[in-house]
Amino acid sequence: MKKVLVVDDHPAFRASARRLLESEGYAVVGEAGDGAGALTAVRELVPDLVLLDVQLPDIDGFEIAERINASANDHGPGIVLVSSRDRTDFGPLLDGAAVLGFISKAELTGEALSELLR
Amino acid sequence: MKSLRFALIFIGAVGVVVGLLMLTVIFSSEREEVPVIDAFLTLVPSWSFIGTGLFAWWRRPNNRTGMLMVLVGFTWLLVPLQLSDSPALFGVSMFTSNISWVMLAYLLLAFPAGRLESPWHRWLMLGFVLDAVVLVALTGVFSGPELETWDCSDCPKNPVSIWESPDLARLFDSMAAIGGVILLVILVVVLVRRYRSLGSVNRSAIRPVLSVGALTVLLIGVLISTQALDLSDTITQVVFVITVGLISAIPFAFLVGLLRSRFSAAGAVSELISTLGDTKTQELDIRGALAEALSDESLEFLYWLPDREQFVDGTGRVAELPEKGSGRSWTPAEHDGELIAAITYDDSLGDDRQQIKATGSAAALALRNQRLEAELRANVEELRASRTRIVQTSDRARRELERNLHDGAQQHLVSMALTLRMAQSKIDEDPDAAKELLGQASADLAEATTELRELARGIHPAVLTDRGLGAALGALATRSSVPVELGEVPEDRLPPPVESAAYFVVAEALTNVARYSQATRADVSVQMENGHALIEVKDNGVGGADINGGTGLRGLQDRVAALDGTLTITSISNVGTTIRAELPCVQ
Repeated sequence: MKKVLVVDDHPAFRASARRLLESEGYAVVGEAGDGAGALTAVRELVPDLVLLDVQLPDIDGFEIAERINASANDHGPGIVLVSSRDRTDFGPLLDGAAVLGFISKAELTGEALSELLR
Repeated sequence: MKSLRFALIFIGAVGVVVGLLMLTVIFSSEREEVPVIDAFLTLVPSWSFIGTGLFAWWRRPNNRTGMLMVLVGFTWLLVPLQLSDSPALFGVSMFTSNISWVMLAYLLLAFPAGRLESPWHRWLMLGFVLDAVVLVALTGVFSGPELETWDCSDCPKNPVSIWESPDLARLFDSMAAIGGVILLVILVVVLVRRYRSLGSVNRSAIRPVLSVGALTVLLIGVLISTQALDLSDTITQVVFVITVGLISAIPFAFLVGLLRSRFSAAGAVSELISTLGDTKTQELDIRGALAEALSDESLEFLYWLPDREQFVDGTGRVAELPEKGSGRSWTPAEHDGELIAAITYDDSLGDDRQQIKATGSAAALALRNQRLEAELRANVEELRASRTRIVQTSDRARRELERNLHDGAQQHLVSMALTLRMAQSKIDEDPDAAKELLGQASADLAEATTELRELARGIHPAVLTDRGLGAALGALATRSSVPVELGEVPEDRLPPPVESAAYFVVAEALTNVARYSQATRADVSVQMENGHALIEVKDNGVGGADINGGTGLRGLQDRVAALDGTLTITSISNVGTTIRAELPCVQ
């Protein structure tokens, strides 16, 4: 069972995502509400996958993804960026990011995640 | 001016007569061996001082320097009294022979303002009077009838001999000599420090007089020393002649200084004033002309705008008057008692204040025109600033709107989408769980609807458009967390921009009441008066509202100003805040 960390500043989304992921067979090992909390949780919980919101109150998702990758030396978790905005709002930023992919929050499903993890 | 001229001519004539009288004293003296030299040493310095002093007095009647120079000249004329064979005049000379030195010290100390500028200078002058007049007179008082200590066998009998005590007389004599040297050293130090502290405008004017003056003071010190040390008469006489020559040069040095800057300045200012009295003053660069006349390029006009109760510079920017100690001064330019502008200038022009004021008053009419231009520029400047603020406010509102949508309704809708998807996947195998999820999705939808409704109301309340100001303000009052008494509100519809502005003034004011005022009630009213809507929101809170305190009130002010209205805030500590907006209602 894959261990997932959910990072989002909206508790309502974190709760919905947890329910959805758990019903799809993932183990949600933790949640974080901002970038600093996310970096700490990655170090302590060592998840296989981070569901990472792009727009956080302190550091943005792209920057957090870079830091996680830099500190993990290629053995880090897979990162999936999520946002309530559309993919086109971020343009080439998404192409350059070292992440597994991007899922719009409203389209988040176990299936969409499996696609990216394959 | 005419009466002053006559008075000065009269003083000059008196100077000539007194000088001639002193010539008779010198030439009739039985003790005087070379009367021509004494006559020369008396008349040249004294008439130089009187003549140049009268000239300076005439050209700059508000500066006492000219008068002081004349006094130095007259007191110098009293010196030959000590040659008199008359015991009475000789007695007078015991008190007056050194007054000229005291006056000279006063002149140097008071130059260029013509007055002593600090209490410390007054103490120094008191020292000079005690030393050069009182101590010297006391020497005479105790010298005995034959003036033994003065070494003057052929002097008249001492008329002020009260108590003969040669020891006391010698003591006072020594005290006077030592005190004199000390006081002169202090004077030199003060003069050097004064020179260093002056601005460039005055430096060139007083350099000659201070150079010659300081040298003279030094030589007077040397003279006192040679006399005290009983050096040969030749040395003493040579030093004395050089000293007198230098003293005679002081008034001319003063004149050179004045001609170098101030007289030309005074002349130019007078000329400028007469030009201003003529015509076409609006075409004249008054600032430039006055700045040139006074050799102060930093001179500036700040125009007073009574409606705004602010000074603005020529470009229309808000400006503050210079503070004391800032190195700059200011003088008002008034017309019929009305303040038109303030003229700011370098502190070193302090003694030209009256002339600057006269120029300002003469120029007041022209300055009024320039003030109109400055006011226009100030309005343009204000308009530009307000336009920038409106754009910034609009940008901020867009950002807030995006943020509110993203954090509010959008999150609920995302959550609802996820929940519905989960419900969809469970509907066959676990209908109860799916039912619960559907309930949750429904709650999310209700939250999203509420958020959107609030947001839409903030953008523009529909009730205002549909039902007018009374209904919209009623709704605001109902929603307010602080009890609101809604007073008079016009029943007729007002122009939409006025209704909008009035609504947002009340909305923002009530938001502030709820957030900051700690008030227990607020009163809201809208009255029509002379085609203007007067909106008032009053609370009984802690006060302390400031238009510059945040963006909310400033934004309201811009909104009101855009409709040619005015917004005023009266906020009194622990009494409450009243926000009043006056909006012209042009249909």
